[in-house]
Amino acid sequence: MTLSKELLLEFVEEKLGVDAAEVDEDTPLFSSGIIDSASMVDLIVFVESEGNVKFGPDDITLDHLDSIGRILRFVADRHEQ
Amino acid sequence: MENLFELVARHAGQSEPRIAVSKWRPGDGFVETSYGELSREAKRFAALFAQLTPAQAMIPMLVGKSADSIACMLGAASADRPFCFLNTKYRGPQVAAILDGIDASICIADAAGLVALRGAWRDHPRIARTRWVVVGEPALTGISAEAAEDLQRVADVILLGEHDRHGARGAEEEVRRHGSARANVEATCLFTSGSTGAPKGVLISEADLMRRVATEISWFALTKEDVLLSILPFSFDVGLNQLMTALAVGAELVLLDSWLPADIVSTTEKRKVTGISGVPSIWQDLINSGVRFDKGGRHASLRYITISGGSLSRKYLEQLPSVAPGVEIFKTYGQTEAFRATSLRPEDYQNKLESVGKAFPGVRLYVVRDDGTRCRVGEIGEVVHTGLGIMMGYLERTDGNRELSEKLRKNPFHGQDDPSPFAVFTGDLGYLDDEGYLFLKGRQDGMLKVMGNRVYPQEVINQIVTLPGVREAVVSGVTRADGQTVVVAFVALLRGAELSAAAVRKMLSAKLPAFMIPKEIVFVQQMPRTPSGKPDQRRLVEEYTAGDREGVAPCA
Repeated sequence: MTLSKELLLEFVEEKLGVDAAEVDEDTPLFSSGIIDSASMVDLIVFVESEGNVKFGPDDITLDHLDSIGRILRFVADRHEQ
Repeated sequence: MENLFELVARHAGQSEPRIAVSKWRPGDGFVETSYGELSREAKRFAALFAQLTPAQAMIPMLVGKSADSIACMLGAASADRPFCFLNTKYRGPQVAAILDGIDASICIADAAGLVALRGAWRDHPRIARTRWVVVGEPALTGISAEAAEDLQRVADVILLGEHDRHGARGAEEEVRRHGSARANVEATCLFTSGSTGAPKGVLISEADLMRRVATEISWFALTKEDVLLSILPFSFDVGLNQLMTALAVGAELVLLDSWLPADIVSTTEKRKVTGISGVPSIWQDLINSGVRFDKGGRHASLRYITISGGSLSRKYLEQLPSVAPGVEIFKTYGQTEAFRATSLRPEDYQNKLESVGKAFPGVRLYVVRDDGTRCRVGEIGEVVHTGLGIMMGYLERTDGNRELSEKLRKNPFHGQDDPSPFAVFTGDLGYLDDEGYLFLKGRQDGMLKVMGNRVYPQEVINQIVTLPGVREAVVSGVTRADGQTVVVAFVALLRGAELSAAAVRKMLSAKLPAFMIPKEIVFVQQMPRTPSGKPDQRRLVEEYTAGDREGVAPCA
């Protein structure tokens, strides 16, 4: 299965307890405080397994993770390389 | 002594424009604000506060870190009103209790504050009764915009983003005439997560706040050429002091809303950061992440980092210099009630690794027994702090006089050598070595008695984190249903590591006496954290005793 917006929203709602209706692609998730930083590891594990990518130490940045759109762009960029 | 607003106005008045604040936004890079702009905005806020609130009213701010929130703080100082930053991790019940406690008529919020409050006004009439001033930076979008609309239905809301900052006219007259920082007037109120769970307000006087600032400027040798990286929230004393020192000295403060090692390292490079104040969890994450500072190359600007607000385990203390080679490491120790008590200088780091150093200039430290007499060298007792940085008192006692409490007492060592009238009994246990360096052993209320033996959780933690695969550990006493107190360890593993409770106990048995070995080892996926980044011990124990296996799930 490939990572999609819908899949990420489902994860955010079910595992991170955020109402998916409140979140769109550009909503900042961590820097806004909507999702607690403690949940980031869960999100990374999910993105790695569903998106079939690996985060290196330099990749774990808010530029890549702060919104659903950013996550999808990061995964897409990785697959292009 | 000048007050903070005037110091900032002075930097603003210099012919060469200087950057006061740069704020990082994911994807957009850095937005800069000069001292001139900051000072102008502060005057507008001052006028607004003078218009909306009675004299000396405390101005609560449920805001993240931004140029606007800093201007708000300066505006309050200029309008002669104490400010208080509330952590945006607070939710309805804490915010309502604080608004009540300070008898607030208005509260400032930004996007982060609105997100924190979402929906809470329905359950907490105190929030709906408050007049909300919503600052426009960062811009409201999505959830925060909806929250603002929702709040407008129940409460009086002033949206400053679309507003002309009414009262901007005549702002000059509102700016305070008397410039000196006063000893008997509150400058700010800091909220700590007291041991009972409800936030406790700690009042700090203007004069004391400015003395703290001056002391810290000289301790870290700060100048206007410095660029300080702000990772910690302003609601936390270490974060607030970093903000104040940067403003007072005319340096640039770089605001970062990310605690991620890669973000910290790249921001340090991009802004040529010279100093970073950090808490143990930040450095622990950095060590585990595999990224590091390169003092010889792209991080040549970085002069110093601090380890503040808690203790880093020995294993990580040993590793830290290798991820920041050539960078000076300061350890600091203090409490919200009695700010910086000690600091360990970089030159002592290797020799006194587990010490928190010696008393800060202006501070005196004593280690005392239960009967109040002083401990011998090496003998463990309660740490007592006198002199610089002592609070005025807790919020509930707001008549301007210091009221004594369990924590704030008359200085028992008052005399020619120690003129401080008051002392803070920290509740921290520690000892002084023969050279006067302080070593902490933990909290008085965290010390455990097991079969007649004293167990200091930090000693056990130090051993657990040296086990292969362990990232972090918390050790606590838990009273079981049968009344027995048992030692429980909450252990977070490194990514991909596997470890069983039996293996942990077996390995510990070679390192610790039997009574110190935890009876139960609970593996946690994620270490829950308090707003200031410390492991949230209370939550761990609560979830453990409640048998809530979702929060603290055994993962091996």
